[in-house]
Amino acid sequence: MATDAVPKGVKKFTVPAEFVRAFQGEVRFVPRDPHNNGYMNFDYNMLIGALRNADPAARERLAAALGSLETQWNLVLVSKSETIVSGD
Amino acid sequence: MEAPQRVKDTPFLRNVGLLLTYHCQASCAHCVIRAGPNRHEQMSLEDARTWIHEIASYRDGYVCVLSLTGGEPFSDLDLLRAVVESASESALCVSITTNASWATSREAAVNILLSLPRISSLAISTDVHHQKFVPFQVVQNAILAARECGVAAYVSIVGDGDNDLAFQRIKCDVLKVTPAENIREGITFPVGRASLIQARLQYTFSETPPNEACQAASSPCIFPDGRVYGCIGPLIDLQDQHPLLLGNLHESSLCDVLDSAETNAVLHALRIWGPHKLITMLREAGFGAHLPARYVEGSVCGACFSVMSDPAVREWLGELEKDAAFRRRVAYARLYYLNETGMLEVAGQEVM
Repeated sequence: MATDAVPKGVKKFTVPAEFVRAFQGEVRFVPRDPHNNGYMNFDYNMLIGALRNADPAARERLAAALGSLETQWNLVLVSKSETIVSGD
Repeated sequence: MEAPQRVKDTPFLRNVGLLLTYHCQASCAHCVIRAGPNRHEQMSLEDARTWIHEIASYRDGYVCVLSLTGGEPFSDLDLLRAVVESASESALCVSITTNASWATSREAAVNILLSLPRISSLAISTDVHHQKFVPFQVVQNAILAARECGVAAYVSIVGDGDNDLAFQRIKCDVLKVTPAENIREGITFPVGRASLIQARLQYTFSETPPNEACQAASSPCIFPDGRVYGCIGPLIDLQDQHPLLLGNLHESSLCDVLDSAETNAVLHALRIWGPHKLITMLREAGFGAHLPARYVEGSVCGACFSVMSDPAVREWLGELEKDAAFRRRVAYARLYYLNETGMLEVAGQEVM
């Protein structure tokens, strides 16, 4: 999806070139196994698992929330190169 | 050869925790919050309902999962049932962290699980300290009962590190009843009650901090007195203000606290780079004398706590939080690495 073809109502964010250069020079380490603090376990796979185990009402609510991108932050529709468009 | 699975960062604010109670049948030697049979402080049902409603309403349903923890959430079944009902009415998925002591038999465990509104997952804690109070057979009952009831069961094991033979033995036992992908491993924090057994912990130390990003600070947790922490880890033992003490729901709305968390640059620096980034910055700022001489190998939480427990470091982090260049870098790093726009959206021009 071309980043200049931004649908109406979608916000567009661009990582400035200075940061792109800086971040490209970094090595970022993400643990394969999320740290377990023993009191609350949550990670991406557990989120998916929880949703799969949710009752139909909970799943419907999530579908509605994800479908209504206008009010959702942090959902990114496009993530290419230096330009990132957020869902809304 | 199978391609390696891409590691995904834990999504921010999709999961919010409620620490329901400090009461627990066990008084484990490694418990950070010092839970036990003589602790009776718990969240009032009225507060729990109010906060669950606020959690479910936040950004029109942004939070997907409510994690209930303690203490032992099953120690007051009436409270637990009412809280799960409230969460279900709000269509939140519910996960419960438990020591499984209620699973005295598989049948009893099935009956208890069926008496609750549907929950999505159990996170069952077992390790050398828990097993002094809760035998592994009980944990096994809970795993089998959860399977029978269609509830995902994860097992959480903490130990002192790779050299901890008891940890390895328990992991072998757990692997006999559940696959590896359902096991979560961690390293004991020398904090809370565990500070009393610090000398016995068999850590491997390193002169350099672990270089990994923090995954815990994506899920805030609400305590019975209304305090909200960015994670439920060793930092909860610090009595003073620190970057991951996000607010108190008796003073601010949950919406304000979580919105503020979106722009908490130190918190997101931990999520993006981990404490080693802050440690490097502290050293460059001349705070080398305030840094630990050694770090517990592999313990991101341990490194975070050892740094933030120094008052001068906390003061410096308070100043760093106000630093416009740092905030801008963090906001764009969230976008670059995590595809998260929250900080740019909430802070707006301040960080652009």
